[in-house]
Amino acid sequence: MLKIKNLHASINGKEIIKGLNFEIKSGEVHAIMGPNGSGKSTLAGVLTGRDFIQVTQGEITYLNKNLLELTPEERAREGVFLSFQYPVEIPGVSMINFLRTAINEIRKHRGIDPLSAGDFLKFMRQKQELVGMDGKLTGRSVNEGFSGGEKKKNEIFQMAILEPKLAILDETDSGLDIDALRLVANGVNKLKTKDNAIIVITHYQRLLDYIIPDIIHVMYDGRIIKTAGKELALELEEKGYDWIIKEANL
Amino acid sequence: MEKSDNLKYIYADIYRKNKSFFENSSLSLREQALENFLQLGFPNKKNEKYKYFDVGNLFNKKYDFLLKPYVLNLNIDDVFRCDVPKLNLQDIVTINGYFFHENKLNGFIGDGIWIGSLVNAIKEIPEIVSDKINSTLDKDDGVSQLNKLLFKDGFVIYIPDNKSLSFPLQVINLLLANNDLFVCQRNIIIVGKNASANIVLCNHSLSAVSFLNNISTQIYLADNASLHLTELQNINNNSAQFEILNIHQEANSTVNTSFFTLHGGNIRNNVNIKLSGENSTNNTNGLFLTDGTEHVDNYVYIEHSAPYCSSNQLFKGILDNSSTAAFNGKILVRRDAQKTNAFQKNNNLLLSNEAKVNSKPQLEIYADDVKCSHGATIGQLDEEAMFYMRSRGIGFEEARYLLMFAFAYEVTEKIPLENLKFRLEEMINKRLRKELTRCHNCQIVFSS
Repeated sequence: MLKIKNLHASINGKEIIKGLNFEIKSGEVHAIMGPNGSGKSTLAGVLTGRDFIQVTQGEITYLNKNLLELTPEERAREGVFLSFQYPVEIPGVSMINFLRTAINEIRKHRGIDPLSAGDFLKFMRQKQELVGMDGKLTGRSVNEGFSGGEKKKNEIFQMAILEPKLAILDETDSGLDIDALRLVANGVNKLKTKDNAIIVITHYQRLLDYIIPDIIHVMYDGRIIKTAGKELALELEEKGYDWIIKEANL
Repeated sequence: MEKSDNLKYIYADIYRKNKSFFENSSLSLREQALENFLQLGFPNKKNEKYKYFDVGNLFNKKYDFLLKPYVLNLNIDDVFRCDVPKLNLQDIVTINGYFFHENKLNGFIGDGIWIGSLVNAIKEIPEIVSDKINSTLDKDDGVSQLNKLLFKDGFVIYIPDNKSLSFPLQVINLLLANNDLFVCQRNIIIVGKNASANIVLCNHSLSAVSFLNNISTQIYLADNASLHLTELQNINNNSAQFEILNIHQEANSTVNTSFFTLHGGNIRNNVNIKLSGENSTNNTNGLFLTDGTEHVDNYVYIEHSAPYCSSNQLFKGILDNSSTAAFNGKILVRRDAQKTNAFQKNNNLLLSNEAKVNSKPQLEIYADDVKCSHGATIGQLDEEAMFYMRSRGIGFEEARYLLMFAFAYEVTEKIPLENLKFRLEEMINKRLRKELTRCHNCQIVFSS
C-alpha cells in the first residue's frame, strides 16, 4: 500500500529524516517506535503533506501514486488519515459541519453522491457508538474545550467516519490515562480490516499492549535502525533503546 | 480658509436657504445646531476620533438633498420583500430617511405603544419626544450637529412603562434615488420602566447611485428596561453610511447592540453610551466584512457614571483586498462608578497584504475598584487549523471559508432570534464567498 524509498527530509535546512525505507501492506499494523527527536512525527508530517517540511530526496508511493505530488486534502481524499498528536481546536466550526464537509468532499472526489443531512446524522451516530464517542461532544465546536482524552477519542471517531485506507496514529497514547488508552485502542481495533493499514507511532510500549502490531520498527536519527516482530516491544520496554543504537553501530 | 470650512457653509445653506421646509420640527433646536455646527465644522484627521476617517472627503461631493419625500405610488410589498424567514416580525419602512406613509404600524398600536414618524411624533406626542430629540452625548461632534440641523424625518418607537413589544420589530431603511443623494435621518427609541423591545434595523440601498446616509438614533432606557438592537448594514460600495447611536441607560437596564456590516463603500459607526444608573449592562458588538476599497470605522465611547455596571464590546473584522478598517473604542469610568466591569476587544483577520486595520482601544479610569480590560489582535487565518481541516479532505478554499465563518461566529452567536441568526449567518456565508451583492429578494423598479 505504502512504500517509502530513501527518504530525506529537512525542516529549515536541517535534515531530520536521513534515508528512510519503509513498506506497509493492506491488512497490516506497523509500529514505529524510537526516542524523542528521532524524526517520527516528521515522518507523519511528510506523509500528510506538511508544507514546512521539505523532502529533499527519495520517493513515496501510495496505492501506485506518487504521494508527494498530492496536496494534503488530496491525500485525505485518497484515504490517508493522520490522528494528530495535538488535535487542533477550531472554535466556531461545529463538529457536525466539519465532518459533513469532510466526508462529502471525499465522496465527491470518489464520484459518490453527498450524504444528506439526515443520512449523515444516522451514519455519525453509528460511528459514535462504535468508538464510544460522547454524543454531547459532536454538538460542540471542533475539539473546543475537549479534555486530552476526548480529543484523542475524537481523532479515532474521525477515523471511523472517514474510513481511511492508511491511518497514521501519531502518539495517540500521549496524555491518556489507562482507561482512556484502552477505549481509544479498542476503537482503533474495531476499525482494523484486511483492506486498510495502520501505522502506530509511539514512544512507549503500553499502547502496543492494546493495538498489537505485526511489525515494529525502531527509528533513530532519521532512519529505521531495526525492524522486528511484536516481541521487540517488550524488549524495548525492559532495556530501552540504547542497546539497539549500539547494535546498529551509530 | 480650509477646504472643510467652505464645505460647512454649503451644508449650512441647505438649512438657511430652505427654512420653510423645516418648519414642522423644532426650529430652536435647529438654530442651536446651526450655531454649533458652524463653530465645530466637519471634524478633520487631527481630531483623534477621526484619525482614520476622512469626513471632509465624504461630504465633499455633490449630492441632492430631498426637502420633501418622493411621492411613491408603490406597494412596498411588491418592491421589497425581506428575506428573513419566519421571524414573525412586523416591519416599518423608511425611504431616504422619511417614514413611509403606508406603513401599517403608524401611531398608537395598542398598550400605549407608539410607532411612527418623527415629524408626526413631534406633533402628536410632544410630551414624550420633545426632550428626547436632542442628546447631549455627542454635542462635540460636527456631524452630529449637522444631523440635528438637517434631519427631515425618521422613526420613533415608544414603549411605555411596564409594556413590551410583543413581536420583533424590523425597521428597514431603504435608499432609493436616481441621483446621488444625501440623507439625514433622525430616530428615537424610548423603552420605559420594566419595558422591553427587540428591534432589527436593516439598511439597504436599492439604487446604484452614491448615497451619503447620515442616521442618528437617540435611545433611552428607563429603569429595568431592556433592548436588543440588531443592525444590518448593506449598502452599495459607492455609498457611505454615517451612523450615530446615542444610548442613555438608567438603573438595571440592558442594551445589546450588534452591527453586521456586510457592504458599503464607507461606513462609520459612532456609538455613544452613557450608563447613568446602577447595575446597567451594555453589550455592543460588531462584525464587519470588507473587500475592494471599502472602509469601515467603528467608534465606541462608553461612559460609566454609576457603580455596578458592566459593559462589553466585541468588534471583529475580516478584511480582504485593499480594504481598510479602524476600531476606536474608549471606556471612561467616572470616580463614582465603583465595581465597574468593562471589557473591550477588537480582533481582525487580514486576508491580503494590502488590507489594513488600525485598532485603538482605550481606557480612562478614575474609580479604584473596577475590573477593566481591553485588547486588540490583527492576524491571519490559523495555519494549524487550516492544515487540520485539509488533512480531513476539506479543500483549501472551503477550509478558509469555514475558518472565516468560525471567526465571525463569536459575534453571530449573540443574535437573540434564532431565525434571524440563521438568516444572517447565511448572508455572512454568502458574503465571505463573495456571492452576496444585496438581499436577493430586493427587486426594486424606481421612477419618481
